Amino acid sequence: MSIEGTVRRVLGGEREAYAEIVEACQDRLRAALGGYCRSAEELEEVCHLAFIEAYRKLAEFDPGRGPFVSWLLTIGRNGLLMELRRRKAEGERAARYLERAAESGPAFEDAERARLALANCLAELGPAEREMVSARYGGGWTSEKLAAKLGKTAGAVRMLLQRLRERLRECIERRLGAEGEP
Amino acid sequence: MTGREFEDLLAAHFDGALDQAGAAQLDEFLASDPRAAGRFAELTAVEGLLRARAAGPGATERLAARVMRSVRNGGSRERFTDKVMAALPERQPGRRRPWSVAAAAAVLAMGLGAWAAMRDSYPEPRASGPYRVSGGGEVRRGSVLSTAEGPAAVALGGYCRIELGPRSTLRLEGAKRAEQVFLEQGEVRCEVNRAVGSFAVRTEVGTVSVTGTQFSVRVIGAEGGGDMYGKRMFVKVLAGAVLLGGTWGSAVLQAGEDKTVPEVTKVKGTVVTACPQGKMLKLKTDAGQEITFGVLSKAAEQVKALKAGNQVEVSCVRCPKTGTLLVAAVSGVVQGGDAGKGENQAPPELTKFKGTVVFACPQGKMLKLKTENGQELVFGVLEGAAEQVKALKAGSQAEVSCARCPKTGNLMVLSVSVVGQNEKPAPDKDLAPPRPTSWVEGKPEPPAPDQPAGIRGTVVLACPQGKMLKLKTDAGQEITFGVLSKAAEQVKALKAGNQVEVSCVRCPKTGTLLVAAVSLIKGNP
Repeated sequence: MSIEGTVRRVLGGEREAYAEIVEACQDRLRAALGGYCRSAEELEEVCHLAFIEAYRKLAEFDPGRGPFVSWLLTIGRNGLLMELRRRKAEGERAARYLERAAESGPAFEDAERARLALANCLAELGPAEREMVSARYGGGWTSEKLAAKLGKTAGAVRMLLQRLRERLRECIERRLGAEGEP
Repeated sequence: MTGREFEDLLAAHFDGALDQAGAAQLDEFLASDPRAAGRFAELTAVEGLLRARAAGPGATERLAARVMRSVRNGGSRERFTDKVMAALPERQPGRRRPWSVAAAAAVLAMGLGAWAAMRDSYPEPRASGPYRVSGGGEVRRGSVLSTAEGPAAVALGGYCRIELGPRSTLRLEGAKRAEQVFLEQGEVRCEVNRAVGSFAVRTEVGTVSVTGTQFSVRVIGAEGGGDMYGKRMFVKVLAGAVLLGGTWGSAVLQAGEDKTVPEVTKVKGTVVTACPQGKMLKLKTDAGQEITFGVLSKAAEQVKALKAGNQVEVSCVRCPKTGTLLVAAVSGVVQGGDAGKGENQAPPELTKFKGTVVFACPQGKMLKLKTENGQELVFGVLEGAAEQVKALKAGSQAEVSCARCPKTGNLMVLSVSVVGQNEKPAPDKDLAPPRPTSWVEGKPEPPAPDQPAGIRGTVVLACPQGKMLKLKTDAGQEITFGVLSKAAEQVKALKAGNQVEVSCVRCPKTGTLLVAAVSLIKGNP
């Protein structure tokens, strides 16, 4: 069943069916907002609130105006914007970036293909680079902690991470540009 | 702006380390260069994809469960958000309620930091089941818990649930929201809630760090002896991911994966030298590479039995302390054609030296001699000659019988005899016994003669045999010490995490710092 169909079930009184929506849409929501959050914990918090807000507003969702995921992303983005604006300069800056991104549309048109491409691009990295990515994003290691582990400065680790991001970006673009599986 | 400057700004931005000036520069550049802005947007998307991917395999179910708890207005109230959400009246979807009202406003306005601050009652460690606390008393941070035949359960910080397996010993370490345990022996199974705090399981072999996952750790003891370097660690991840780290390296394990570290490696080759005491083995591989191994005590007898020329396969592990390959077992011994011609068989070639004793180690383990032609020689000492060396005084004229160690090439004293005594020994810096050493910001300094200083720090590793001590100083530097025999018992009694001050001397032969005495500043001995 499509997400829109599940939405109808929830609105019809099947409250528990909302879990299916949460399971189906959360990766997209995380990917869309993750670049603007300060930590994995904050991202989880923002996603949680976005789903709650979407649940409250569910009757306002109009399938004729677009897919549910886009509607959910707008709710999540607005929630995050509120949080970012509450902070001072740093948050306002991130809010500006988020608004600009919303105006110019998604950086990768097909989010699902981008997600698959990322998985393949990560597999192209060397073992040490993969471990660094895992420690950073999976383990939540700060640059300072990674630096201590690798015997480098935090600045050098930041640059290494930036080069990895850049390689992944190029790889995703290349794969999305090619036909077939990304 | 140069490309390099832009890269620097991007690196700092994605690390949350951009200062105000840098932020202004980045903003200005992005506004003026659409290509850079496009790339920035894509990099931000990559960052988002990486974060989404890192949420891990269990994240989908966790978030769904959390959202549904809030939707149902009940369930667990372990998090502030859940409390706020649960406090709202149940509503049917569709009834307009802007995010800015009570719940969302409270949560967002307070932020995560304030949320953490609100949780003022942090749970104390709890344990249940058949367990024993070393030294008695209640379970608290620092306690050592042991089980006998049955498992016990331990809860830490309200977010770490640990099942301690039978015949296991666990020390509770860590701090609030940074829980940590040290598994001395046995097995633990852990379940850690994400986003509350960090958790780590330490063992003598390494550390398993997690942020939210289910996994188990088992310490595999050295069979046939208390050799700590023979210990290994088996880690299995059920959900999420863990990071393993140790002196042997590091690895990331995902759900469904398991790993035993340090890994056992098998090496095939021809025996070049096998130490008669079974403490060292030198192999020549088929590729022509010569590898020298240390030997775990459980494999010593096997190594003793080897002859040069034997074809063997050895299972070895990397010493977590030094990274040296250590033989754990020897198999597939085939008598080689030149067995009997190797160094094992040939008696060591004896050499004699005459000279003046410059320094004789009080423990009889090292001798420094100045020969008649002015050459200074440093000797190791075989056990049988230790007493003779102990009895030597600087300035004595001595004749030394020695042989070269087949492993290191060092000259080893077999016997020594005094042939005369000088009136006044020639002054030499080595004549003075090694002085206690202090350590200030990583630099050894001679202490004031009347006030020998020590080194203060936290015990990282204390060898159970009392032969090695690893400290982390307050400045964050890790120092590894050898241990003089008189301090061995003190070192044996130490535990990781103890705060100590050690008095040490520098070994005149190797320059290694040697612990002469330890005093405990803080921690349970």
